[in-house]
Amino acid sequence: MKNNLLEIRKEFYLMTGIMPIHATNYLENKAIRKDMIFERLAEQTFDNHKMLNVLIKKIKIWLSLDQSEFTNCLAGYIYYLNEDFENAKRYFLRAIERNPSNLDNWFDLAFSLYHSEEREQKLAKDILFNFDLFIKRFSNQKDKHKSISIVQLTKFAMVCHCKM
Amino acid sequence: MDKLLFSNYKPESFCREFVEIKGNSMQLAMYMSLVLGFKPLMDDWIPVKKLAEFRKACHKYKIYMREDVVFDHRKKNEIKSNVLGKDCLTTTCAQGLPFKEGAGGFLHIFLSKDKNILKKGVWYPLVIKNRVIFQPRIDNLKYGYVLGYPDCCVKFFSKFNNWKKYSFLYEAYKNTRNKPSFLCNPFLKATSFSYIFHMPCSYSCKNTISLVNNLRKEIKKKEPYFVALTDSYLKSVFLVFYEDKSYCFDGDLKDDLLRYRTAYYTFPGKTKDIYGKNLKKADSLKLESRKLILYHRNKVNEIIDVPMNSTAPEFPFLIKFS
Repeated sequence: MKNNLLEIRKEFYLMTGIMPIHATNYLENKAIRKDMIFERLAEQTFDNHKMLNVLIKKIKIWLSLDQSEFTNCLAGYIYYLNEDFENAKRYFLRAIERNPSNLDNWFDLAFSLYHSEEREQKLAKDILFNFDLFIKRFSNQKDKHKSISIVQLTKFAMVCHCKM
Repeated sequence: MDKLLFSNYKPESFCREFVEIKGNSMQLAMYMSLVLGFKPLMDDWIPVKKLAEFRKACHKYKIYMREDVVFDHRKKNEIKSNVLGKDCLTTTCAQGLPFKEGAGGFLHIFLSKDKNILKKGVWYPLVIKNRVIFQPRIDNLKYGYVLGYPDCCVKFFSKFNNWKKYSFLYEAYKNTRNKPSFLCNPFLKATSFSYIFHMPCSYSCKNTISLVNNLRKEIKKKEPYFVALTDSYLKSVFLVFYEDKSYCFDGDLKDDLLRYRTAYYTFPGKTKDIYGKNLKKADSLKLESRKLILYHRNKVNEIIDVPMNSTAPEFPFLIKFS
């Protein structure tokens, strides 16, 4: 598995020239964002649909080889850039399941929801206004790889509303 | 030109409700453009207490509305120094608050005639819990397309919208090959009299001219006086230093000499009116590279060296729109 991830990172770097570094943005780090991949990919693919189309094909292969936070985030970025917010949401959620402490993943999920249906737009704003509470709640889960659903997030958002 | 330029304008009937409800006529031409089907999406800020009336007006014009969040607008120096990301804030500075019916403040909304396009509305950088939350870069890059701006202008903007390195407006000026058209004039967007709200790639951009021409024809059928006023204001001479730092003249430019009666700073309420007092004392001017030469009764009154600035570089230029 680790070898697969190494190969994916290498291939990604050779294709895009973007360093495949993906550090956790912990709340206490007080950083706006630690990931730079999403922004760099945006600038590269904004005017270059060919590159995006290649990445869309590649990510399916990469996901079949590896299910780490990094690969799921990459999938989230690629689908987001392609305006496929359903899939972007799916993969950012998986990234959060693997690392619920990473603030960048939460914001990326929120923005995927922001471009979805009305109910999910509401959840997006709940996450953006209460990002610290979401991180604390879901980082404290006993089973770190327990799956997280939109329904769970929505239920927790209602708890946040009661506290406000 | 007169002080009407900075007053609110109420149309005879078309889109009048929006002006009455908002209490101002900012973006009036954008509302008209949206209703007439030219503009796919726009956004605005509505007092929360006026929301019910505004919804009715939208219903009348068959516009869908998406409620975003409440903005508590601030000046940059009012934002606490320990707010993460404060230094990256540019023109919009606000604390974000969740929307609650009956509460105060200004609600940010998106408007469209197509419900699906509302999903493409983009988040503005807002201060929430002591940090600025920024939208994904791709949203920023694509927003121009979503708002209906011409492709060439969106691409040009993405290339030159780096305020630390470029003066975007000057880059557009350098890119202007033909006579500057009033249909491409973006300098009055802080008033009620502007057909465009995007930064054109040049002041003679064919795509902008075509888009605005069609829009203007349709607006003229419904509000001819508004079009007459807007045309007259846009067909003026402007002295441009930087974004939010330009002047409009009631005068005429001939052989590089601008003779004028009055000069107006085009962004009322903003703080970059640095040369207003100097211009008031003069009645004509010339711009020679970075030297602004002010005359009074044909005698040199003052020579101003316009500083370059290490960031946000200024390249002043005079431009006449016709």
